[in-house]
Amino acid sequence: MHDILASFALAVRLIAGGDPELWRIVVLSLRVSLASAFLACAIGLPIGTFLGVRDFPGRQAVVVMLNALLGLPSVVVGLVFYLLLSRAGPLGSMGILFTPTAIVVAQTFLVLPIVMALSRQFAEDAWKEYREQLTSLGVSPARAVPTLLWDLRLALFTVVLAGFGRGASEVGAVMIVGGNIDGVTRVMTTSIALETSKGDLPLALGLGIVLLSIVLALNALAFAIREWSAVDHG
Amino acid sequence: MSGDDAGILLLSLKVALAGLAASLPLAVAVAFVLARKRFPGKTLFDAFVHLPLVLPPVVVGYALLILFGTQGPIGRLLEPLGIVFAFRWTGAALAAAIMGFPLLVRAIRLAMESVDPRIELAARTLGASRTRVFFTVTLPLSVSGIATGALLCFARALGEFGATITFVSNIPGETRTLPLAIYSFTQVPGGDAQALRLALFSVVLSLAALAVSEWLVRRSPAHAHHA
Amino acid sequence: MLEVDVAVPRGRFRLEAAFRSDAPIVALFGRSGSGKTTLVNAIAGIGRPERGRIVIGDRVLFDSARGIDLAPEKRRVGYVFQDALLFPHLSVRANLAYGESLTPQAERFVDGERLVALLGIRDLLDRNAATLSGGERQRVAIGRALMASPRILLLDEPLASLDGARKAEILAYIELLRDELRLPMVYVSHALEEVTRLADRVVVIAEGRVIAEGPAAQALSSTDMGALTGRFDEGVVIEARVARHDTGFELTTLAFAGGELVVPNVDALAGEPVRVRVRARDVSLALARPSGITIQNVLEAEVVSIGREFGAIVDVSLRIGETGLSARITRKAASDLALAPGARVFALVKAVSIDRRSVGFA
Repeated sequence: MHDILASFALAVRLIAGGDPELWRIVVLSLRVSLASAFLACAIGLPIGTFLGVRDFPGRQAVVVMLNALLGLPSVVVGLVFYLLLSRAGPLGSMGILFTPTAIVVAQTFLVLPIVMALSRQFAEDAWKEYREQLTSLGVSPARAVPTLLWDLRLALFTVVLAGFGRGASEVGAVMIVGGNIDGVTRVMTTSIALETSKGDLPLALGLGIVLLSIVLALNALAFAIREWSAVDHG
Repeated sequence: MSGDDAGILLLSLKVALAGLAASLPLAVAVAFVLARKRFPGKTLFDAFVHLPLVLPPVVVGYALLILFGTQGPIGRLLEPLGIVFAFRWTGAALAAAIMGFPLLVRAIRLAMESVDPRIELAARTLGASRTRVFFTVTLPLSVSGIATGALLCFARALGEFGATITFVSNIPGETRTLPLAIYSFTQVPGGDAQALRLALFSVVLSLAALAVSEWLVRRSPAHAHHA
Repeated sequence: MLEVDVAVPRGRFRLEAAFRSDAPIVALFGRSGSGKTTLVNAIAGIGRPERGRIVIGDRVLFDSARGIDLAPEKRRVGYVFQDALLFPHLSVRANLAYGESLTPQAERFVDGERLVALLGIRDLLDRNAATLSGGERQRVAIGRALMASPRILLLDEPLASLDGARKAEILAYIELLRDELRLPMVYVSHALEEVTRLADRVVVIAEGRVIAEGPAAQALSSTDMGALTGRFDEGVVIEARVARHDTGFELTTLAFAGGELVVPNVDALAGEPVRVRVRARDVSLALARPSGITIQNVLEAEVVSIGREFGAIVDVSLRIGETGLSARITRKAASDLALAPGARVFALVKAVSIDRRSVGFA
């Protein structure tokens, strides 16, 4: 226990003191997770909203596939991209394996189903409420998508937050396509997973504290937004 | 499938099932409390139960390491009793149990909430004590929720990576579950094929579990009410 | 003897009620939301009263002063709910046996075979409880409650979720049970018709308070009942005895304190006591005895009071000998006939308006 407390104190010192290694890892994590969240939302929000609003033949199948993707183990996704991006693979010529770009690609693919599922849910509920109003104004389902996207901007922002949180928490796929290379593809999660086995407790602890703080802050923000908009809209 | 593969698969199944078995009784109790009781701090308790869903798996794994590791307070307490989690499959099972716990509780709670509490009252007027009512009325009527939750928890456990590798490392034969094995083989030259094979098993298993739980949800009485 | 005296806070209002009853069936009558269900729940042990006392015979179920509060499973109070609430995962047989198996051998007094025959549910025994129709469910619910050999049976609006034909059917079963088993019952309802048919004693509840209590005819005949019964049903309940039958025209003459009423055939022997409900809207008035008219019942009466002097309609309170009657007529008619308290009139009641549902057996 004493060891832990000592390490804890050291960890806090690393954070507060601006330890370069720690902060390099944190910054890389943030960049990568932000990028993947942004991409996943750019693609997923419109698609998810569309799914929630418009019925078309095969919609049910798409929804089922979405749910299946949600349950897919992340290492499998990592493996698929690894195989695609490795030198022997079809996209190997791009040479992005073991670079942050590969991490962004894999993470985007992992976050995409979540973004689509959440935005679909929000859109579906909102559509039920506003359908009559919108159709009476002559708005077609296709036009409804951007209208709803704007209307739901707060709810959809929480989806962005969720996507970001999920990306920041990812470790399996990141390890496989990133390789956890010091200074290049070492992010918070992979560092924690590996540092603990190497025994560098303060660094792992420090990173853990930062990661935890980020995720908790994201959740708190999302919670606050939900509460605030609930009060607003009644 | 090679003997190697079979060993990994069996270990994964053992870990996932053990995790489920360990989670189940507590999850049923917690779900009942959340479904039926009101008490100060209930929201906080509910949030706490959902923590493993919200936190990054590596953070959960790290917390487990601190608490249950060889140097940890609980780890040191249990060691003389012969219960060791560090670097053992039991640790992997513990990680699986904790990560799947919120899913279990959610599904069971949903099922229990759809049981009309007045039916439980009717049973009491017939002479049944609260305990008897729980076992003869509430539980049987929540079975589909328990099954759904168990499947979700099991599927989650099979795909669990972050918490496992952080807590009990990647020891072949002991803690190298399916996801860890897939990762390991990508680090080995020529291991891609085996990794792919294992990944296929993983996908098939998780899809099967998901499919069965979907089917269960569709035929549950709760779904019928909302449909 | 059932003694109840409780105060139960309930959301916005408070139930404060006290009554006693020795009768085979005591009815709790009142509108939805008046507190009747809260009251029976208190007897069953659901929802603890703030203060009070509930005693059945020599058994104290609840006594706030002495800190006694028996758990529902210890009270031996049978409860038939409005929507049966059978166990959907069990067969009918298992539902019936549930309470019985929890009752010690020595305390069982219900003959299962006879009860099943009485309720006509033998064919349903192996069916799953969730597949039954409304009427079947209620019969099984009654059976299940009785199989636990309770000391008292509570029925909370058992007919409310049934359609007309089923209502009549189950009502008949309840009457049968009342006569066959020596088991006190508490019957909760907002339907005047059910109450008059079944209950000897009625407790009228409104807004959490007992506003009338006593023998059925007495408790149900105050004109303040309009709000409780709904305008259509308002009237009086008369205690009478079967005088004679006219087998040729299938009519029965009922004698009451003040006169006789001719009604369509009542299935009872001469001398048997009955309760008759006469709706105010079925009573007309005349200053002189009419002739050449189809109305069978022409009763000499005295006007006691004329109420509600607004709108097109007034209610006239009459006395026929010792018995009260109510007539609902237009205000114009009252004015045309110059009706005033003390006036002697003739009350005309169509025999046809007193049907099977308006007659109850004591």
